Amino acid sequence: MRDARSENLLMNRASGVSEEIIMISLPHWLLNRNCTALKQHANDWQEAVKMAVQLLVDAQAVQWEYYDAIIRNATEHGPYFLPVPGFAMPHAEPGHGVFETCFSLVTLTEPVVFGHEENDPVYVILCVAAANQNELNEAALIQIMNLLEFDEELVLLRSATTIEDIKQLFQQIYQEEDD
Amino acid sequence: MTSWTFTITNPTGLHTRPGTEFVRLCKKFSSDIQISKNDKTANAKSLIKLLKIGIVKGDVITITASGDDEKSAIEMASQFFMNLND
Repeated sequence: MRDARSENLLMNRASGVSEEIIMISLPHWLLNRNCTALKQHANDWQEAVKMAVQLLVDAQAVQWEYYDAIIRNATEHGPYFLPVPGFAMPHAEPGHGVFETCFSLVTLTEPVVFGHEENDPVYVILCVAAANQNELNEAALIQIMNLLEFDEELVLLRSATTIEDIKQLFQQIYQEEDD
Repeated sequence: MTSWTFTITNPTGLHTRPGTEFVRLCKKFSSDIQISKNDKTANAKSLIKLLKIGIVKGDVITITASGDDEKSAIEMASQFFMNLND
C-alpha cells in the first residue's frame, strides 16, 4: 500500500513536485487530511459552512476564528463566493486564524440557499483558507477553477458517495491535463 | 483591436470578489475581451478562466478588446483596475 506522501506525489504527477506544492494541493487536503464530508445535511448555509470549517479545525489547519471571518465577510460583501450554480467556495482574507493554506469539501443531499442572485441553491461547499494572498490567487483558486472546469455541472462532485469517488475525480482531471 | 498594459498594484490582486465584478462589467460589452499575464490568456467574461490566470500584486497584465465597443471596454477596464485598492 502506498503511503500518503507517495499517493500525493502520484496525484501531483510524480516527479519534480516539491513538498511545499503538495501541502497546498487540493487533493492532499480532501483525500489525505480527512477534509471531506459527503452527502451531509445542513439546515442553512451557515451550518453548511460551519461543517466545512470544522473539518479544517479538526485537521489543525485553521482556528474557529476563521469561521467568524467568513460569516463577517459574507455579511459585509454578500455571497460573492458562488462562482457557478450550485457551488460555493466560502473563504475570508488570509490571516484570521489560518495556519496554512487548506481546503475542505462538504456535499449536501438537500441544498442550502446563500442569497446569491444567480447561483443558488448550493449542493457543494468547498471551503478554502489561504496562508497569504499569493497562495490564494496563484494556487488555491486556480486548483478550484480547474476542478470546476472539469466538473462544470457538478455531476461528479454531487454524486460522489465515498472518498474513492473523489480520488477518481482528481485522477481524471490530472489524466486529462496530461493528455 | 485596442489594448492596455499595466502593473497590478493593489495588495490583494484579482481574487474572487473583484474578479466577479470585473467579469460582470466586461459582459456589458459586445467586444471580445481577453486578459493576459505572461503566456496565459483568458476570456475576461468567464470568471473560471479569469481566476485560472492567478493575478497578484506586481503582475504585468495586458487587456485586449476587439469589436465595436473596444475603446470603451478598455476605458472601463483601466478605470476598474486603477480604482482597485484593497
